[in-house]
Order: sequence, then C-alpha cells, then structure tokens
Amino acid sequence: MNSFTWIIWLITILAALSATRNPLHILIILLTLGVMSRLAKKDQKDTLVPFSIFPFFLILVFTASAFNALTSHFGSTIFFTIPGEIPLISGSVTLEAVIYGATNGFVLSGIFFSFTIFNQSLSVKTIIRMIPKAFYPLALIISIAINFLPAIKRRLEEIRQAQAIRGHQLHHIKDYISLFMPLLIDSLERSMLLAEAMTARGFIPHSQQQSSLKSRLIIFSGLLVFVSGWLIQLINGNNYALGISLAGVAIIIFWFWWISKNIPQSVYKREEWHVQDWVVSGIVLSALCLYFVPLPFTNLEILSYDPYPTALLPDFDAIIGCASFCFLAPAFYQKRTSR
Amino acid sequence: MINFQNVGFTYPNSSKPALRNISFTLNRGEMVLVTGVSGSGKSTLLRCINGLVPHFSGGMISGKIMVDGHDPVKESPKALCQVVGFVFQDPESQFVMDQVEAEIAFVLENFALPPEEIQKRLDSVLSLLKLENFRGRPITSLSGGEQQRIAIASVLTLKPSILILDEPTSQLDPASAENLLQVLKDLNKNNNLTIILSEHRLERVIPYADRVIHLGQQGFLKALGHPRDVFQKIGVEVPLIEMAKKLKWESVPLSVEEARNYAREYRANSKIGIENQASINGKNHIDPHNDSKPAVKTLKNPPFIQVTDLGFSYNGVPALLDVNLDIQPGETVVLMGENGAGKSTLLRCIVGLLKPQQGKIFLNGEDICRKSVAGICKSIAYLPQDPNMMLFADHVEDELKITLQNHRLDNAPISPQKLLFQLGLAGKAHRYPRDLSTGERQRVALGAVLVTQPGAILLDEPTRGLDYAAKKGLKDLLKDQQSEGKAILLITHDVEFAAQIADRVIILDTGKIIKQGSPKEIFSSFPPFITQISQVFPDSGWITPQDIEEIR
Repeated sequence: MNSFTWIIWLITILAALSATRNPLHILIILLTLGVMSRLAKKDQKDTLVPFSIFPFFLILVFTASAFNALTSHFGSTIFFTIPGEIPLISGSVTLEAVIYGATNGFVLSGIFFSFTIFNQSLSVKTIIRMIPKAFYPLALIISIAINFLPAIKRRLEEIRQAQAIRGHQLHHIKDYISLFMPLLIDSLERSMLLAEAMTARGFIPHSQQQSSLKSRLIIFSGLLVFVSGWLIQLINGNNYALGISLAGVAIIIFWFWWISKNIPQSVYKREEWHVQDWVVSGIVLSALCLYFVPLPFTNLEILSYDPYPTALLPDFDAIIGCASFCFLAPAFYQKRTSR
Repeated sequence: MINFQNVGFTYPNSSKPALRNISFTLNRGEMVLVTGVSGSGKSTLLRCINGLVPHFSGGMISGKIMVDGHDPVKESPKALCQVVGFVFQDPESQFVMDQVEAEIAFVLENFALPPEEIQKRLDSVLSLLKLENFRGRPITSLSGGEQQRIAIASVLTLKPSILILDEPTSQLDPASAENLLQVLKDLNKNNNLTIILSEHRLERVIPYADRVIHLGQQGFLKALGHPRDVFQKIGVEVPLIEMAKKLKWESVPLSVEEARNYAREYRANSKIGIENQASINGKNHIDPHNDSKPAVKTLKNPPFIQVTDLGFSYNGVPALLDVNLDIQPGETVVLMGENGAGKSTLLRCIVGLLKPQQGKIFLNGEDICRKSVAGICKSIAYLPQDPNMMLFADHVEDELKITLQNHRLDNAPISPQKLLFQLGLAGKAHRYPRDLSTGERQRVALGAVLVTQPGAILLDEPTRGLDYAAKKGLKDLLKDQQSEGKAILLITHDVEFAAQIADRVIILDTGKIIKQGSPKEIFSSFPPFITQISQVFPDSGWITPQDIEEIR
C-alpha cells in the first residue's frame, strides 16, 4: 500500500480521536487499532517498540486517571477526600475525575498506537523518503535510530543475562550501572563502526550547504519576519500582521525547498498509487466525515461526552460506531496481499 | 594495482607504530590473504588501501601508497570508494537500512545515479551474488552468511576493482563460511576482481588464496608470497601444514585434495603402511569406534551435571526434545551441530537463564530447575558467545571482585590475583578490560565466572575471533581446569579445536541428540564433522596432527 495512503489513515485516526470524548467511541477506535497492531506485528520479527503495548496502555490509562483524580476535584460522586492544604492534591477524589482522566488516557493510547502501527507498517526507507531532502541527514539519523532500537533491545537482554550469570541481581538503582555501562559502550562502538562503514561507502551528509553562513542568514531572516508579524499582531492587532508572519514562514519553506532541489540525490523506485489506495483512502475519509459532518441519521452531540458534574452512562451512536470499524480498511488490504 | 612503499602508521595517542616500513605490490585479479596474530596491524593495513586510515582514524602516516592510480592519503575515502569496496567483520553493524534492496541502493542514491542505472546495477549485483530471492526481505531475518553477502553486494554496486574484507568468516559457521568463500572465489575468477581479505581461520581460506601477506607482531611485513612458501617459512598451526611437517613432506599441501595426493605418494613410497607404523610403535591399529581416552575411565563416577528428558520450546517451536546428558567431573564434552540446532538453548537451560518446560537438570545430584541463575552460577561457570557483554569495570581485577561481591563471598575460594596468574593475566590486573585483545578479554570474562571456583565450565563458541596463539592458550587453560576435576561442556563450530580438546562429542540436530561418541569416532566417520587430517588419512584413526606425533 502506498505510504501516502498510510499518512491519510494516520491523519483520519488522529482526527477521529480528537473529535470525540465519548469513551465508548474511543474504545471502538482502540479496538480497531488493536486488530491493526496484531496484523502489522505478524509481518515483523522485531517490533520497533521495545516494550509490550498492552501493559503500556494500562499504565497510561491508570496514570492519566490517577493524575486527574488527584488534581481535579470536581464532580459529585466522591470516593474520599484528601485532607489538609496540599496544593493541587488536597480535596475530593471523584468518580467523574477518574472517568475524565481515563478518557484522556484512552486518547493518548490511541495516538501512541496509531503511530506505532504506522511505523510497523512502513519500512524505514519509506518513512525517511517522506522527509524533505533538506533534512536528509536528520532523516538518516532517524532511520539509523529506528534500526538501532531492536538491536539495543536484544543487546540489553544479552547484557542482563551476562550479568545474571555472575550472580548480579537488580535490587537498587546502582545495580543497573552494570547493565547500562556495557550497553552504552557497546552502542558507542557500534556507532563508530557504522560511521566508518558509511565513510567507506562514500557517504557525505550534504550538510555543507545547509550549514553555510548564507543558509543560516536566510533562515534567521525568515524567523525574524515571522516573529515581527506575531509581535505586531500582539501589540497593535493589525490585520496585515498575519501576512507578515506568513511571509516569514514562506521564506523558510522556500529556502528548504531550494536546498532540497540542489541536493544531489536520487530515488531509484517511486511508489505507485493503486486502485486499492483509492479504495482505502475513500473508506477511511468517508468514516471520518461521520465524525464531523452533521447528517440526519447521526447524532454528533453524543461525541462530546462530559462526565462532569455527575457521571452518566455515555450515549452511543450505532452508525458512527459501525463506521469506526472502517479504519480497519488497510488491515483487510494487507491481509489479502499477504495471502 | 596496489603499491605500498615504506608505509608506516601510528594511531593518535599511541607511541608504538601499528605498521612499520611496509612495502609490497599486488597485481590485478589476485586473491590475497593477510595474516598475522591479533594486534599485528592487519585491519590497519586494509584500511590504508581505501583511505580510512588516516582519514577516518587520524594518526601519522608515512611512505607512499598508490591504489589503481589513486593516492588514498591525498584523496578521501569518498573518492576511493568507487575503486575499493570495504566489507567489515560484523555485517549487522554496517547496515543503514532495514531491507535488502534499500540497503544495496543506499550508496547509489547518495551518488545521485539515475533510477534506471540504480535498477540495472541492483539487478546485476543481486544476480551476481545469487541474492535475487532476498530482494524484499528485512535484513534482520537473514542469517550471518546471507547478511555478509548483502554487505558485499552493497559495496559492489559502485563497481570497484578491489574488494577488501576484514575477517569476513569470523562470525560464520563452517557451511556459511565455505559458501561465502566460494562466492568470493567466483567473483575473483569471473569478474577479475582483486580481493584482499584478512582471516584468523587460515585452514578455511588458504586453498582460495593466490598470495599471502604475513605481518609480524610489531607491524612489520614478515613474509609475502605464494601460500605454500609463506606457510612453510612461518610456522602457523594449520592442521595440514603441521601434518606435512611431521610427516617430513618436502612441500606443504594447501587443501585436503592436495594433501590426499601427497598422502597417496607417501603411502606408495613408504616401506610400511601407516597401520603397521602404529603396531611398530607398540600400539594396535586405531579403531575409530574404540577410543581409549580417559573419559571412558571416568564414566563410573557420579555425573556432575545430569540432564534428563529435557524439553524446551520458543513460542511453541521445539528447540530441545528429550535431551539426556551426563557430564562427569574432569570430563570435556563438546557439543556440535548446525546453527539453530539447540546448542545454546541447552547451555542456557543448564544455567537457569531458560526454565526447562520438560525434564530435569541435576547438579551433583541436586535438582536445580527451581534454583536462581545466581545460585546455579556459583557452581557452574558459563561463558556466553560475546564476553564483552560481561565487562564493565575499570580494571581487570575489579571484574573478578565484582563477581565475588555479587555472590556475597567475603572469603574468596581463590584470590583474584592467583586466578589472574593462572589465566596468564597477572600483568594486566590494572588494565582497562576493553583495551585488551579478543583472547585476553575472553580470559578476563572467564576469570569473572571462575572466581567462585565452580565445578563445571560451560562455554558457548569460545574460539570465535581467536587467532591460533589465543586458541592454543584457551586449549591449555581448559586442559588445566579439566585436570583440576572440572566438568567442561563447550559448544564450537571449530572441528579442529574440538578434536584436540574433547573427551566426548555430542551432535545435536533440531533439538535432538543424533550422535555421540569419542572424538576419534565422530571426527573420522561423521561427514560434516570430519577433521582435515582424517579426510586425508581416512583409515588411520588420526584426527589431529598430535595423533601423528604419537604414532611416529
């Protein structure tokens, strides 16, 4: 599937997550992401995420609930009250605050999962191709870092075992030094080897042009114009101030485009846009429309659920709920191609 | 093609030169082997050819180098990379991309070649190295040998006339190494590619080399010439060459095929046959199935390690199936088999890093399946494949003391100083462990697990990356430990090393023990594991050059 279809999918998921605070609808989106994640994982030997996703989800939801419960003291269903005058903390701990916090946790998990699936589904090469050529060294660093993650994860486990056979046990923070020191040294040695290998293969990061004085001056001028426009807007509230800010942004974008154009680099294989990409993009965008466009057969109001002041069971719109399963479209396409 | 004139090089912050007064000329289309002990300057010499030394390393270089009309000292590695392709020891650490095709195209994209040209070169190099089926595969899913071929492919795309490989087979099992060397020989013959490679496992590479450059310990060029002349001159412990010297052959054989021809002549010219020589020396003809090594005597002792019906699976895929194994005190057992046979899994189950899903493991009669790793490793020393993972202290001696602290042993069973002396590291007690050579680092790691004076030693591929001197040191060390009554279980792909050290050999295949017996039985009759000496004299019962000495 084309990487731009994946970008469209990612944007629709993020937009849908930001459009609703209804826990039931967010849970449906999370369910579709769970299915997608399982399918994406099947094709990968090494996951890019160096920890298990489900425990991470639970930790995120628990942390968000606990944080909101301890800092937001609104709501009518009181569990208990923290006495004293501790800033932020003292006050009632309510069911409504817990629900609101958990909803935030669901949304954060959704954002995290969608990016994880995006990473798992696209090759490193594809991801760095999306980054403009002006930022190629940065893109390459990201690529190397992404490649290093599974290796570091494997290495950490090897070091843990190597230390365990010397009777080492992890009780205190200082005990971790024996894990992190070899890991750090090993990672530095690997970085040096990679740098040497890249030099031997004639890699030069094309960064001279970007870091030249001329380049720095132009970017600085662009920023100056942007900030000037913003300050004028703040002080005088003039309408043309926005235009000045936009001009600043345009200078910076133009300069990066110009640098990219002059960087000698080629792409040997351009991605093709297939019928499946039209279909998947069409399905996910149509599903997203139901979250924003008022239609006679849907109720958009139920998406903005608020547990305060008294928590009630959230309403559920069956049509929007069913439409959320359309976010699974890339998974069906991938499953079919893997067969 | 390549000309060195009085080349010397000293690394930054070093007072001792790594290379001294090196002069030689190599011709186009030659396959040249660079040998020498660890630290003799092999890698430095190779890096001089493409300009990594001094451009990447820094340091002071003297003399004159010319490589296919280029001066690597004046020009940069970027200019040289279209003339010289360089492949490093560990292929995994030189990859930038995660997929085969993307990795190979990476350099060409950086050189801004047109997409059509990239596609053409990519197809050509994939076909040349028989990698067409790997095109879309993730690099992490490939074996070590396959990754090494990808690394070669990625440098060949720039169409260099010289290919340099720094110990390319050191991480590979025998089958993968043989495969890779055959690929290199084909490239050398069919494409007239000049190939220069350094290697420790000489018995593998000698048959393929046209010439040898041998560096001495101080970075001097000790010998240069045809492998036969060089190895006759320098005394390297390669089995076939040792054998030739012991049998007083005038010329040394470079391959098993060559040695077989010599052996035929030897048998014909010799007044008495090899079997008769054995009788004259007061020994009967050696029956490969009736070995008389001391291990047989010790079988009556209760085993120190006993494994019964052991089973282990990774995510439902069986790695070990009903494995039964006894190791007596003072016995050395060598575990062999292809990659993925379950050898490392067995060792990791014994030390508790993996919990057996079936069967029992007894240590001195005690069931250890529920014991902690730390508890087990007080009585069993385990040296993993990469000893670097164990070393993090500032000084060698501290590595040993840390193990004692971990086990809360206030009264050390042996003082760290004494153990370091036994390991031949007495003078290195205050050195930084990672500054030592591969063999020395391995001995430090061994010291770190031996300081509790355990009754058994388990080693996972301990000869990987070791030169002949370091291997001999390891062999002597293990013999000493064995004579102290320690049970030793080691995994190795190195058939020649195993033949010298084993009392008993076990062959593991897809998680099952398929064969076990004496070294003479296994190494003379079990095809994938027959030693070079045994291949040359199949009926003699000789498996190592030492056996020849015994008879003569």
